Amino acid sequence: MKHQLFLLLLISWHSNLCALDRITLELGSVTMPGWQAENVVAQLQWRDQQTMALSLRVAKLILPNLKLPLTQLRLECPRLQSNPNQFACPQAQLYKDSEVNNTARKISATTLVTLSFTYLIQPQRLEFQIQPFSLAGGNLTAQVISNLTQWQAEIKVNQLNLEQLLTQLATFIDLPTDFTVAGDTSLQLTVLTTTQVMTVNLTGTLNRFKYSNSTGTQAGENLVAQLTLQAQQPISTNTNSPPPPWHLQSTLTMQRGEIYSDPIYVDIKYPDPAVQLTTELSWQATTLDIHSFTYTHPNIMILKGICHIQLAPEFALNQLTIQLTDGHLAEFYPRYLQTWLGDNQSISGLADGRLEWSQRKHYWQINLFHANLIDKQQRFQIQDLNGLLQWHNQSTELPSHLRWSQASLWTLKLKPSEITASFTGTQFKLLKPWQQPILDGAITVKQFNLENWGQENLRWELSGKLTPITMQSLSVALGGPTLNGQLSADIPPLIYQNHQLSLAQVLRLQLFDGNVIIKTLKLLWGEVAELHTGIEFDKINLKTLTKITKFGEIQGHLSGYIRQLHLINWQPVSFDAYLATPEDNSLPKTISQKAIDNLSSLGGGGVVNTISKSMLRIFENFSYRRIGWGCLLRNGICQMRGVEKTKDGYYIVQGGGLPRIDVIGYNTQVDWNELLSRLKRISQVDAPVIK
Amino acid sequence: MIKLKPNLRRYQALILLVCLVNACVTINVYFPAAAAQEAADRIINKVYGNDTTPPSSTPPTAPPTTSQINPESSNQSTTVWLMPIADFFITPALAQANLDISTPTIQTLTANMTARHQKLLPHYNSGALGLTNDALITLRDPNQVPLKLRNEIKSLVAQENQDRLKLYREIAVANAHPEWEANIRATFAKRWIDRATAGWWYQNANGDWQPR
Repeated sequence: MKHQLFLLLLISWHSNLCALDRITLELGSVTMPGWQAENVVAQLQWRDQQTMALSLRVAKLILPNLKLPLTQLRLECPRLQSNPNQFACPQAQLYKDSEVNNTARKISATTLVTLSFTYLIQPQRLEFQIQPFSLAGGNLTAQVISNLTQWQAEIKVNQLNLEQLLTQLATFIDLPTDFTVAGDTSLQLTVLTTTQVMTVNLTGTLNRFKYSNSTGTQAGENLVAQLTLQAQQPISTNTNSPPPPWHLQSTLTMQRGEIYSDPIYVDIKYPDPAVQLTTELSWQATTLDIHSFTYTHPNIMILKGICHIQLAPEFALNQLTIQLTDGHLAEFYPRYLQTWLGDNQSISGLADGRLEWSQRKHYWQINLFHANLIDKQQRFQIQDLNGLLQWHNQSTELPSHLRWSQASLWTLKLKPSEITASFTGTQFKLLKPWQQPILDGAITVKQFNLENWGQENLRWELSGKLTPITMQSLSVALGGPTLNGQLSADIPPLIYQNHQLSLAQVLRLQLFDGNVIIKTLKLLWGEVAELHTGIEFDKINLKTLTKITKFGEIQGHLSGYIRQLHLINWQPVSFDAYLATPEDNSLPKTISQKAIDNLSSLGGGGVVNTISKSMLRIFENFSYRRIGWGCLLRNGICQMRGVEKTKDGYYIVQGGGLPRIDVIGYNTQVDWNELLSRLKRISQVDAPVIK
Repeated sequence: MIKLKPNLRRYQALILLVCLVNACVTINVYFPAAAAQEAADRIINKVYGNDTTPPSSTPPTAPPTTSQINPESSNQSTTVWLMPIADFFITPALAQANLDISTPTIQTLTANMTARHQKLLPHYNSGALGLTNDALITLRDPNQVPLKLRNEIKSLVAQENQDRLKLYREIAVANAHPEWEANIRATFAKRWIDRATAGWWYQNANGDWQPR
């Protein structure tokens, strides 16, 4: 370039001596580092001693980063002023020529830009300015100042439409197809290069900004943001070594818009305080080191961290550390997590946390302070939850500790409790027994191990104990009729695997002053819940049991079984059930008038009932010898039986003493759904007859 | 009336015995394609919420042969009266022609998919979701889904595919032919697409996406 300027100078000087009025130089092909021009023709025409007209034509300009060459470019400077100190062109036009009619050789010229330049010979300083011109719906101006030791460029764009810009650029350069951007931008870019360092300053605004990768996992929409960026790169004179790293500091302030970074969705609402991201980093071809970043969402949280990424030869996240402070859960959950984790619960309280991620070590922790977790359907809630929850991919004994002052499960209030456990990889394990006081008793989980969390082959095992809870307190808490007795149990190992819950041993429950023994249990947990179980009843106190119904009081023991019970979606498919007065009954055996009355009304009334009712009014209670009923359910039909067969039926109540009352059932088969309807009407047998 | 001699009767009995032994009675239970298509259409009808009888892509025909009798040609006359005997044995095989889709699991899966379909429908219409050629669905154009709904739609797509795979397996198991799962899935793959509304996107056999 210097040689060409010298040539122009020489021609200018020579023209004065030789009285030339026009010079045309046909330079053919000109090749310089970074560009190549073909069929270059320069023409100078003197207007007077200090003014020339410059015309420069380039048939083809090849730039390495453009997929197509720029063709038929023409620069016209009608008044190029020259003197021994400088050349100046106050206004020049850059055209793109194109032939509109090949045969007539008509040329159409399109003005690309209007520019001006000045070259000061002694300090060898070039000043170059592009006047505002329309580009992609907005406009652009640029200014370049260059001298022997440095050059500076300043570019201003106003209301540039990124979609239009990219469409125009796509003609010349290959744009990435896996990432799209759209929206408007205005920005000011300054580049200053000295012999030691290149400095870039950028300030700009984004409106209606939209971006997305091709899979839609990283996207933003309707963003309004301001960006400031300062970047520096030392100038290396050693061409054999890789380029020195860029050092960048940036601040991105987002006033509104939506951001989706799978699976986190953030809605930044205006006029809420703006969200700000400040970053300081170093960038080379092979590495990206984020020395610090701070993400501030006012009144919601502050995230600070560092990150080291390997970019080549293959992408790798070498280190990521993020520290969460001032996490206000009441706002954080709905703004960041709700679309991912659902809106079934509301969370409040404070949290801080930490994430450490490297190629081998993965770790996170969350500290909760006075947190409240409330299910919106009022199934459960935990209040004043405090403690540390942490997870590690390798360490096996990293304790998490949570405590709460109040909780509830449906209408059941739970007292303060605490739990200590470890959460490693896909495993969760209680580190010590967890006792949750319930009413006047407690449930103690002695052991709980969970494996393969989040995987198809999830497995867990639980064992524990239910220390006595009085039925009175339980029934009051559940809002039912007041009951007597107590509920307690040793919970044998319960094992869940292959989508099936099963009992490793017999489960014994103390209920209604007797024992309920679950001998087998298999629960298939899928789209359809399927239960196989067998239950034995031993000396259930009928007086306690009948108190919870309006059926009428019956005294005595009741024992029996429900074997081969098979439920699908909690509806019985088959079972063999029989409940009767045990041989070793030690309680008085009486049945109340009301209970007999209900039994007698099961058949739907009639003459027999009228007679019996008149007789029943005389007595309050009746003695019985045995009471019992059985049902074998197969194919929707219940095959019924009693304590003993009669000639035509079976005894449901076999009387004892005087007055003797027998309740006899005659129907041995009944449709199960029909039987259920009768039970709902406090009816258990069909057509009983009182003798 | 011809009275056969005892020796001749003995020979005839012997010939009959030989014929019974030699007559090659092969009972092959083939995948009942027409019945599978009918079953698929009944389920798809419920899921898509169509009350009309689906158009059949293949004319309804008698169930495919579920038994094949290959007697030796030399025993032609024997096979004529052996047919009722063979039919007696192959009756259970013919019974497989009607696929059972009434099990609680299939009913529950169908109900789940039907309820879910109402949430997926706008995204089929927008082209965000597409029907794959392997009887599943996919989020083929996530940019058609508002950012706020992306997690929900991704979750629904995962649940739908999980249910569909369970459905194909369950139909095969419920009909005592687990080995039919791939055939049932292939049948559904075709019928999901055949029954799709105009404008929905689907994946053709080459894996290319195109609208119905």
